[in-house]
Amino acid sequence: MSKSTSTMGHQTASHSGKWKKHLGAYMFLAPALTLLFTFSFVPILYVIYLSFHRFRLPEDPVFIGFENYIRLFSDSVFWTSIWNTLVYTIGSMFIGLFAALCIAVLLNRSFRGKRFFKVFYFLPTVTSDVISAMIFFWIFDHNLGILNYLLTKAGFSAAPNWLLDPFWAMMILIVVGAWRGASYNIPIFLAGLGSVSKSYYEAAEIDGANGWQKFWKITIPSIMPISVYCMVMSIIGSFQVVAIVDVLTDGGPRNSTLVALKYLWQQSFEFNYVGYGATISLFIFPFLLLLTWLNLKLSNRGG
Amino acid sequence: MKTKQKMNKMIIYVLASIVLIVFVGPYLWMLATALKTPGEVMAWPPTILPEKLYFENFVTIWQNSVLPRAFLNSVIVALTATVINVFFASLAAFAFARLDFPGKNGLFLTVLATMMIPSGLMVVPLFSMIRHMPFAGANGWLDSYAGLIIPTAVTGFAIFLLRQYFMSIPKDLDDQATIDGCSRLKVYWKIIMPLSRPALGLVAIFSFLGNWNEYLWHLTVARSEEMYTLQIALARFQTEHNIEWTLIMAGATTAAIPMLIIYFLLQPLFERGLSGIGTGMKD
Repeated sequence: MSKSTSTMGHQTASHSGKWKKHLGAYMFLAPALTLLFTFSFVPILYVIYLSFHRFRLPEDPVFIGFENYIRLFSDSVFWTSIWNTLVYTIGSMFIGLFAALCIAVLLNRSFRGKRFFKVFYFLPTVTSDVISAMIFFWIFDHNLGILNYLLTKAGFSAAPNWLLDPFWAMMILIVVGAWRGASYNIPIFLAGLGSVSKSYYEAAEIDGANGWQKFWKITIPSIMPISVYCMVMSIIGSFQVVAIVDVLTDGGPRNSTLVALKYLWQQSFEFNYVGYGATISLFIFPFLLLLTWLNLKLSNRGG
Repeated sequence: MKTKQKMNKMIIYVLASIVLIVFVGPYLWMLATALKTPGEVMAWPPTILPEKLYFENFVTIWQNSVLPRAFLNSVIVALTATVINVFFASLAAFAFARLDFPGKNGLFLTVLATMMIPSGLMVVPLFSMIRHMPFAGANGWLDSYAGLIIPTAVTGFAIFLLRQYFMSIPKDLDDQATIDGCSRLKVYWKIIMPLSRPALGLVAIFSFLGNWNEYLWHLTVARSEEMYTLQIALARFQTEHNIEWTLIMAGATTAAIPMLIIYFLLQPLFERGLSGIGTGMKD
C-alpha cells in the first residue's frame, strides 16, 4: 500500500488502529440500527413479495402474478374505503387545523392563567384514540347520550340516530378526529406564531394597519410553512386512522365509515387474505411517501 | 379605552373557557359517569354530577378477567420499549454526533428515511415477518411480548432528536476527557448522558406515550386474551358490555390515569419538548 518501505510498519499500525476505532463506532450503532433497519426495510421488501402471492394461513405463499392487483382494481369495497378515508382525512384536517390555528391565536395573547388553559387543551393528545372514541360513543348514544339531552333541551325534537346513520357516522368520526387533531396542533401553531418577528407588526402599525390586516398580511404568510407541515402530517396520520373507527362504528353502517386501513386489516386478518392485504398496503404506500417527500422539499425551501 | 380593554379581556376568557369545555368536558363526563350507579346512569333526564360517589364500578373493572392483565401487559410493553429506545437510540446518536466512521452520512440519512415510512401500512408484512422469528415457538413472535415490543421499540425520531441535542453540547468537554484518558464509552456514559437529561426525558415520554396508546400493531400481534394490551382490551370490553356505561367509563378512566399522571407530573418537560418539536422540526 505505502510507497516507501521505511514508513510501512507505521502506516499499517495506524491503519489497524483506525479500523479498530471505526469498528468501535459501529458497535455504538449496531443495536439501534439493526433493529430499526430490520423492522423498517425488510417489511417493505416483504410487502412487495407478498403482493404477488396468494397467502392464506397456515399455508405458505403461492405465486399468482398480478392476480391481487387485478382484484384490487375491480374491488368496489376497496375504492369505497379509499373514498371514505379521503372524506375523513380532508374533513378532520381542515376542521382540526382551523380550530388549532384559532386557538393558538387566542393563546398567543397575554392574559393571566394562560398556562392553565394550555395545559388542559393538550389532554386529548396524551390519552389514546380508543379512550377518546369510547367517551364520544357514550356522548353520542341515541338513548341516553348527553348530546341528545342537550339538543332536546335546546328545542330540537328529533335527533338523528347518530352512529347508525351513514352520513352522521362519518361526521362523528370527523369531529373526533378534528378534536384530537386540534389539540395536537395547538402547540405547533403556537410555536409558529411565537417565532414571527415583532418588528413586522410594529412596522405595519406605523403604516396604519389594523388588526385584521396584520393577521392576513403578516401572521398568515409567516406561518404558512408550519401550516403546510401540519397539513401533510395530519393527512399522513388521518389516512392511517383505524382505532376510533373500530370503537365508534366498526366500519358501518353499510361500509359508510369503512376506512382503508380497517379494510386492509379485515382482508388480511379476518378473512385471511394476507397477500391481498399486502397489495392494498403497497398500493397506498407511494401516495403517503410522496406526501412526506413533498413536505421535506417544502420545509427545506421555507427554512 | 379602559372599558374596551376590559371587554377584550372578558372575551378572551369566555372564548378560552369554551375551548376548555370542549377539550376537558368529555373527560369530566367520563369521570362523572364512572362514579354513578348503573341505575342513575339510566335516568332521564340525566344527572350531571353523581348523586353520591359510587366506586363499585372500579372494583368490578379490577375483577374483570381481562383488563387487569391487559393493564399489566401495557406497563411491561411500554416500559421495556422505552428503556430499549432510550438506551439504544442514545448510543447510536452518540456515534452520529461525536464519532467519525465511513458511511456516516449515508447511515444517518437512512435513519431519517425510516421516519417517512407509514407504520400502519407495514402491519401485514411485519406480521408475516415475525411469524418466522428464530429462537421462538412455531408462531415466532406472534402473541408474545417480543412481538409487541421489539419491532416498534427503536424509533428514527429518537435517534434524530438525541443526535441534535448531543451536537449542542460543547465538544471541549469530551475532548478534555479524552485527553485525560477516558474511553468513548466512558465519555458517552459519564459526560454526554448526564448532560442530556431533558432530551432523554423527552424521548422516554414520547416512547412511553406511543407504546401505551398503540392500537393497530398490538391488535395484530396479540392473539390470545392473555397478551392483550390495554387499548385492545378496552375496545373489546366496550363491545362486550354494550350499554353498561358506568363500567365502560370506569375502564376508560383507569386506562387514562397513568398517562395523565405522567403528563401532569412532567409538565415542564412536555412544554419544552412540544415547542421544540414545532420549531425544531425544520432545521
